Amino acid sequence: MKLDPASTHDPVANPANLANPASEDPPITNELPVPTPPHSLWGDARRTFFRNRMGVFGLVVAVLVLLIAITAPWIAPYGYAEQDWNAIRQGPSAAHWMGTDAVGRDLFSRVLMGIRTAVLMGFVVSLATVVIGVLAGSLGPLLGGRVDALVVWIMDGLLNFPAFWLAAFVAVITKPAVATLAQPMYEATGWAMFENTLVFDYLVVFLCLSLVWWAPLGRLVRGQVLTLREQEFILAQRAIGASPWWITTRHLAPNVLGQVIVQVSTGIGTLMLAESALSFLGIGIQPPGASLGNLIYTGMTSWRAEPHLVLMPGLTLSVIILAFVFIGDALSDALNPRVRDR
Amino acid sequence: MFRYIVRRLVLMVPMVLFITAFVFLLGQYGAPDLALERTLRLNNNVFDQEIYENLKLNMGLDGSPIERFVRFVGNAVQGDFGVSYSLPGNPDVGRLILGALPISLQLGLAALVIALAVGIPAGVLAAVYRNRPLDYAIVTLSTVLSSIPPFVLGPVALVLLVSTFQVLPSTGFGWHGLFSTETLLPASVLAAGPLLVVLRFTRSSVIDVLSQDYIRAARAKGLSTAALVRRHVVRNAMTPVLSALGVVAGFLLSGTIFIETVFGIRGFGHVTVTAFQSGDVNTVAAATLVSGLIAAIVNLLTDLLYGVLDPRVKVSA
Amino acid sequence: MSDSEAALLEVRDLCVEFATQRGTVRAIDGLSFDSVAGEITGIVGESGCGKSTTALAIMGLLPEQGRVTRGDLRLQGTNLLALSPPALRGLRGPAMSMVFQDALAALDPTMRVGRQLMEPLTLHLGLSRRAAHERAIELLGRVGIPSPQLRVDSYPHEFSGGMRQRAMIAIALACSPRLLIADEPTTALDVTIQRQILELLLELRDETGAGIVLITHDVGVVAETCDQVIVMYAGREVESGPAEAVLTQPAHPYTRGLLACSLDLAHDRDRPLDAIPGMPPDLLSLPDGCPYEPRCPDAGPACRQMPSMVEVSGLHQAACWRVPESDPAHG
Repeated sequence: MKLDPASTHDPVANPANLANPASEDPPITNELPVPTPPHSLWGDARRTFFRNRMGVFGLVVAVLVLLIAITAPWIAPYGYAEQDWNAIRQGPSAAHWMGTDAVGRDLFSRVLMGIRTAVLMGFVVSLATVVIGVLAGSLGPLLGGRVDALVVWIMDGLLNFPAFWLAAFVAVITKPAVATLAQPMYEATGWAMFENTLVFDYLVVFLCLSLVWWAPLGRLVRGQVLTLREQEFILAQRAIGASPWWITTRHLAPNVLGQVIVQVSTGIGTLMLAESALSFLGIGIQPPGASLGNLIYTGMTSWRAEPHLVLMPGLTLSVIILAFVFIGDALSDALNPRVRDR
Repeated sequence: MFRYIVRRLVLMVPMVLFITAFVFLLGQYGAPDLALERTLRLNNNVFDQEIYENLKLNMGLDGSPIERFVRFVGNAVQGDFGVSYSLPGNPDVGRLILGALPISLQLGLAALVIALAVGIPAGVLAAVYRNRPLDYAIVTLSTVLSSIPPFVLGPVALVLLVSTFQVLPSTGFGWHGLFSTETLLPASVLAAGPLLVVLRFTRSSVIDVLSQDYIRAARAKGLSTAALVRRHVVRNAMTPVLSALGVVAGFLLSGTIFIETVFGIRGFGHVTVTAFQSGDVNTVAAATLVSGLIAAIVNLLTDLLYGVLDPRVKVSA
Repeated sequence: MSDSEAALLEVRDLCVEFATQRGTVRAIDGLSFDSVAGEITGIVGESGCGKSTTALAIMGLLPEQGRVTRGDLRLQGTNLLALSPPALRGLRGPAMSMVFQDALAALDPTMRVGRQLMEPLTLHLGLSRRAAHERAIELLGRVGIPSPQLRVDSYPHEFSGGMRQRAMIAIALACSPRLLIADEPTTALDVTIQRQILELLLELRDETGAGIVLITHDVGVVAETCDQVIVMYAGREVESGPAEAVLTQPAHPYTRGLLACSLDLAHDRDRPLDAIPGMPPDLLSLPDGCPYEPRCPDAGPACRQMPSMVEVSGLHQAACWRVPESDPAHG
């Protein structure tokens, strides 16, 4: 028997081969290696995330912090402003887990309320940055022309500026403006809210941080939208028939979403830091408002004598920020297909 | 090259102006009417229109906000930033900032040197020994250190190093010059954030470079790892690290605000904070302008350095 | 293989494994061959068959996940696997060197070509900067780069593809190694440039008397240059022998398939292109017997067992049960 492949497989010489290659051959399909089960991006990501010990630690802390933030007023052993003149300047003890300050206020309760503020600001501002960032990032390329140029110009300007510095400036500047607005607003609406300076503090911090912090996210979204635009062109020319919606949801969204999630989670951490920093400097949440930042500031005047007044809120803040940084890192690892690093 | 610089500068100016305008105009809108306050103060709480108008003219508070801004910029270009109405003695804002800036620049420089001198080698080490204990240790330690806010790290470090362990002299406060021991602590605390950024960028960049073919080809020539790193890795890995410098500069600028407050150093940050707390609009506006310019210049320098490090960039530019 | 001349490179039962997320992959399984000074040994096979891995294993440049788990590698009698890293480093350049496939990727983009050429010279030969510089220009000229004294200061991206490849060959030759391994040196080049590079390799072989191991997937390249050839499939050696014998009278079905796939100018236009049916093997799930069995037109029940290398004639051998019966010499 001739073993020259040309003769057995030549369909001209042997037309039967087209339908049924030489009968001795096992059908090809039987021997193909079994493909491994498909790994979806999200499934893989979830698994990778939970393998990262620090990420899990961060997640646990974050959940804890969230719970504290929601239940703070109820679980705090003492009132935020409650003074006990029999227990001033005490270090940590059984009665006062974190000690007391110069007028006998329980530090632990105050820290709990401070956490509440931090979480509130962190999450709310994050939401705002996502909204603004997505809007700015998508509207620019979509509307094109001068609108786009304007958006890019603003974004670049914001990105070039150190974010916190700018936020601080805006905070300083808008505080009096908000105060000036308060009276007419109260008269217009009759809402008691406008009489409360505390609300201003929150409002100002919210405004200045939102206005400044959206830029990196905006740039990210914009990059992806630009890519999408290119894809559309190509599609239109090749008339494949896949709709832009298909491309967006199947191809672009998973990629963008991943990076957005990473940025947002690290962003929450930095925003909490920014809020505390603003409060520390005296331009954020001021007493009677509760903020870890202003707790640290007040504690600093007596750092030698009562270090716990600085250390307690300081370490709490650090741990919370660290938790979000770990989460952000773990997410970045999980959602980033950088196989090389494994 | 020269034209490139000019082009970048031209683009830069409107950006900085825009931000300054934003801050300035907001300030004008909300600022308490200083002229009014002063009139009342000078005139025994009785309002006098003439004094009011005169004061407004003198303090530059007449005209629409736009006019005031234009005047502000016009004056600024000539170096006149007006006068601080919050500080005693109403010092000239320009001179105030000019006096404080060198201190902050020196502090920032010291911090930058520390961040680079520690961050780059640590990043390279972490990359070469990646996924091994040394790598984890380096990355975790620097992450933890930099997550502690500077206004926490400062006092904590102060307490530990000065009081508890007495490693550093106790006369910690104030500015004693760039090369004094007192500068070490504030500069190090300031360097914490930038150090992490530098370390991360270096690490990921070196990991990238190490996986390149030319590294393997160089090994095929018989180079040891040390020689490899020295000759091939460092130069190729530095380009992304440069882009980190922009971020680092941002950290440094923001950081000085806190460090100077905590350590009692009267630099640019300190001046700015005082202006914040007293609502000193003129100083705040001037500080915005100055910091914007600094940030933009740093970005420009970073871009120029790119061309030096990577010959491919020069060709295409 | 050749008992008369002392072999330059002796590879015996080489096994290389890679640790991957999905399990351990055996990239090379029991490879044995000799390379002789003054001869070109070709290793040919499709992508993923283990040819480049062989080169890396010899040079000691396997990536982190790869290890030599069995076997012997001797260069002029020295056991390469038993050497300490510094000792191995010392051999790279003066004793053995490698030319990589993608010259653009294999050259440091931020360093001038001349300096990259000087590195092995200063490192191994201890030449001064000036002497190394001179020698670098000489080497560039030797490999056929025009105006070498100008080119020596250029950056890799300023060279054309062919010139870059020549530069890489120059770097590999810098310390006059006894063994030169060329990993797909012509794959990324135009056909006309390919020919020039191959001729250069032939010249160098004659001039320096070095042994060359040439790795390629292009049978045509083997035909033009190699003295002996080894055919690899799924990490195993399936056929080897003097080039002429293997190419004119292929004994293994895979070799025949490879040869049939290569086009020549006389190819009848009306005939469909020959292709080997099926897909390249997944090294994680190889069948127990002959790895080629799923795609082999002559497969039979015996093929469920791994065949061993059987002599076809003289130094020509193949790993196929059919070898004794299908002596192609008898048609």
